[in-house]
Amino acid sequence: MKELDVFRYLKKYRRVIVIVSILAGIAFYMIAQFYIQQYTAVTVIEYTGAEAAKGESPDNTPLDPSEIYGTNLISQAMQKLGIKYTESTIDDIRMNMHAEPIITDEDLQVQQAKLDNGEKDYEFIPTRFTVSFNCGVGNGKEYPRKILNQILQEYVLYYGKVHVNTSQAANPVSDISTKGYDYLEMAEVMDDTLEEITEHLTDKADWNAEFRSSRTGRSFQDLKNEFEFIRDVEVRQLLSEILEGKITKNRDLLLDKYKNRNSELGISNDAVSFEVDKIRGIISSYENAMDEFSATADINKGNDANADEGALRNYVLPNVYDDWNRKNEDDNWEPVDRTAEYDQLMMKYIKDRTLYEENAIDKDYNNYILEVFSDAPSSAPQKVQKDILKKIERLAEKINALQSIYYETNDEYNEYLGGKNVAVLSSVRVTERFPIMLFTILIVVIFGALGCAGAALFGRVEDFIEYYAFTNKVDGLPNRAKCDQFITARSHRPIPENFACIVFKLANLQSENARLGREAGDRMIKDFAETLTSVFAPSDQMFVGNNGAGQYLIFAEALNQEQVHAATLQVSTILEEKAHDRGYHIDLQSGSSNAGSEQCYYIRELLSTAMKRVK
Amino acid sequence: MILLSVIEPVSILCIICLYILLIWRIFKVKSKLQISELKNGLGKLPKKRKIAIAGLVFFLVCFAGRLLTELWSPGMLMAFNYEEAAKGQNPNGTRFNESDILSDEMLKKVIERGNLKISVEKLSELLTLSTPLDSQKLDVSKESDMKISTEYWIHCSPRVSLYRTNPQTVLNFLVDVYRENFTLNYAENDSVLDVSFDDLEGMEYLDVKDYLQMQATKLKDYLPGNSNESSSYRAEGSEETFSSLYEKIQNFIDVELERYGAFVLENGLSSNRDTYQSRMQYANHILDTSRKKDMAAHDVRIEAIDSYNAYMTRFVLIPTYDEDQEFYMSRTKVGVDYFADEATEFLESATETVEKIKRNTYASEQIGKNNPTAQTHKQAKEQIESLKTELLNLADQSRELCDTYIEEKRDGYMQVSFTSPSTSSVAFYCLLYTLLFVAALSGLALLDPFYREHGKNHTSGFKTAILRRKKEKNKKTEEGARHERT
Repeated sequence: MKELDVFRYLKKYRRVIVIVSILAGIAFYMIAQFYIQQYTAVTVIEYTGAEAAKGESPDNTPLDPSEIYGTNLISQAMQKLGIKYTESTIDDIRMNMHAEPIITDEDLQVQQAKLDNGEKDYEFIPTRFTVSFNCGVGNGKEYPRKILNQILQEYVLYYGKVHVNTSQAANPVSDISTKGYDYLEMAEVMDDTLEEITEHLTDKADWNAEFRSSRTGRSFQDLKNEFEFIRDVEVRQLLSEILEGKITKNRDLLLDKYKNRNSELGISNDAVSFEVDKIRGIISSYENAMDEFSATADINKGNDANADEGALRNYVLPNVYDDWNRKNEDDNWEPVDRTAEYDQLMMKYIKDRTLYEENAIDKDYNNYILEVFSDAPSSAPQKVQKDILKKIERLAEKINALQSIYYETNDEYNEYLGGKNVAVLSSVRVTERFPIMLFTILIVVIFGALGCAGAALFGRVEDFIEYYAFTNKVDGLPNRAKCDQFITARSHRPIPENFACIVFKLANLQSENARLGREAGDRMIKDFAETLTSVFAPSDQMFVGNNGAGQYLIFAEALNQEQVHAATLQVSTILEEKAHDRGYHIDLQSGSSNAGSEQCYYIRELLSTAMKRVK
Repeated sequence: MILLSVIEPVSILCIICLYILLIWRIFKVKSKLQISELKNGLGKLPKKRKIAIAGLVFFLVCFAGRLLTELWSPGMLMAFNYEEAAKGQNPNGTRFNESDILSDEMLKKVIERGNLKISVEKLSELLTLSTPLDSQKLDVSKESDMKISTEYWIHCSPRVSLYRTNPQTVLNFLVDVYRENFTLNYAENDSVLDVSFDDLEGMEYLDVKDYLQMQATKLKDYLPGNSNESSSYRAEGSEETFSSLYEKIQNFIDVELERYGAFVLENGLSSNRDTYQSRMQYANHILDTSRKKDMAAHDVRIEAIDSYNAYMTRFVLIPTYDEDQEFYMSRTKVGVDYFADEATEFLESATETVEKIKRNTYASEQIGKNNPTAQTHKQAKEQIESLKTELLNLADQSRELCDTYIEEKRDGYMQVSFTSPSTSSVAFYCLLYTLLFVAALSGLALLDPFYREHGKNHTSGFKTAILRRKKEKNKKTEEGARHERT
């Protein structure tokens, strides 16, 4: 059997290994590029609010970057981008969105240093986060950028609206003329609405006087001035016209309403009055009790000269009690109300007393309205009603138009606040998630390595099969079956011009066997096979076999007539020398034929010619 | 023109095919290849002239194809040059979203404006946006890696010509549409300088004063934003600065409107005396209600302070510094301090209300006791016209100054440029392709004799074998025929 030589196998199967590896690489590349590859859009955001370093939003709720991939925001983003649910679902996007905190080595070092310095409660709270979105390559490279940008856009708006800005005033004026209110009630609703809006706008103008909307061109101060003007001039004018003209849809209904309001206020005041009396009682009892505690403390003091100073020292802590926060059930810190009970009682008293007084004043106002409308006609003339309704509608329209501008300005303000509190530190970058080319090279290398291992294994197995099925055990050359296989494989196609066929025959093998014995015969065969394979070294280009009928066949891909003669002569010479050394006689017969010189391009015919020439 | 864009890929394909052919032939004749013969072959390369001509033609075709394609379908660079762009913000401080450039809304407007026969989806597929940062991997641990791009490359595929337009036209429409949208939504908006007097029609004389004051205040409030940034800025050929304009508007309010107000009150001018007096009366009623409430709240707190039992609390004196760094004896606050604060606030509010009531009463009395002549009314109207003209003049001056300032500061917000192809770069690439092409051709020419010989051997052997087979067949047929005859 042939020796184990891995390089022989690799050489033999090198083409297959290379082709299979390259094909595997191409197949992997195509599949990976279209089905596995993903685009990753990534950016970095930073919470920049004053409380961000404590992990809190401006409204003191904990920072929560997972809000970025909240269902509501993704749904809004999908709507804005016109992405249908057949293309992608909310969960598809949510699952592929990530917000990871950025904690650098420097941050960890600072944390360690603080802990080492005894700040046991110190905990580094990240304010920077990478936000990324992965998706397949099917929708192109622009798709992940659009998605991430739009979601961040929605988040910034959401953050400004929910965590920074306060709510905006409602607008009950929008459909006031259709609700069946009396004219006075409509005017009052307008007045109240404008008052509320003005209060909101005053706060906003104080918070950020410099903000001016790009879409409406207004600042909150501008809007406040405009609303105030409408209220002070136009709504007041309307109210005075209604009161002056005693204009009503239904006097009795209006009067009943105001009478009812007074009754409600009276009931409320009775209750408040009762509570005020009781609180006074509590306060009085509380004062008495505390007075007695003080007296006891004074007795305990005795006649100490430094009693007053000591009392002060005893009653007042030497340091500010700074543990003013505590953790609630959710493990969040929250401030503790440390208002003294006595102060709380006094506050409650003040609140109730103020309410009582305000009710009394409102009752006076209601009486004023009752007085004005007491001698009014049961219903104002139709023309008057029509005129006043027209005025109300015109005014409501004006308020609505201004309110729309206010809402638009406020929406932009939310975006502005979001932008101020959630800073973008890096542009959205879109990169390929997997280095497919690198993986492809790896696949080629792996397939190459596996191919090499497979070739070695397969080659060795082939060697075994070759040895047991296709090798003559005596001389170690391919046997008859192998010779037939070789001939059959070449018999269907023409052979090249220089193809040569040589047939050797040991004519005196039987007689030498009989003369010298079987062992000497075997030796002779082995010597002959050795000589043959040393002169005609078997390779892809050279086949040397024993056809089992005492004939040795040699097929050479490229040997001309002269080379054949020279090789035959060499074999004879070597064998003669060997025979002389070993003490046996060898009678070697040979015949050869060359495709070119014989003009014979089929192997069987060429072999037949060579056999005929054996002598 | 779309065919031009195909030239380059076809050329590359051609080179690839040539190399495949070359490798194939090398494999075929490798057993016959000898270094010495190859060296000799190199020395006397056959078909030199033909190869040179083929190379030249290839170069010219490649060069023309690539150059014309780049000229016809240039890339567009959109650079945002306002200050906030580097922070990833729009000029108004909101977040900048580069995807807006190719949003469906923009593309829809582009299609409408250019009357293009293409759908939004198709156009979206043909346009791409990229930033110079896309090629860099983001390393979040490095501060220097966190950058915000202010430049965006936009490219329109030449395939857009299938829709009867060309890339540059589409990009031009896109820039126009986006610039308009950007200015409308994110840029400085000076619409408050568009002073309108439509509401003055039929308005009471005293309300006119308030209205004009409100408009003047809007103008005044618009200016300081710029004034803080560049207080000494002046437009070329103008002496006005933001500060001077601010002062002028303030003077308009303090002097001119005040004078007009005094004139109206002194003469008791009113468009409709009864209505005005009625309104003042009602306003006072409301204000008085508000005053009463404030005073009630104030009184309740005073009552609480009075009844606050001194035994119930202690305070500590705290030596500290005041704002002027002088010693100051402060103390811990207790309930009464807060009540006192609240009482003061309510008192202030009540005082303001009282002042308003007094003003209304005074105005109502003045209007009630005077009976102005038509001449006085005329004078008042003339004054109103004069005030309107003055305010318009101030608005114009403000607009002129602001426009110049913003134009200089923002420089149009964005700069757009189209890439003109670099001839040298195109020539370099084409030369590279040509070298590869010529190398492949030379290789083939060099191998040609070996390959021919190889082919001849195979073909001649094969042909002879076939002829011989045919002869044998004929012979057999003849023998068969002879045998049949016998």
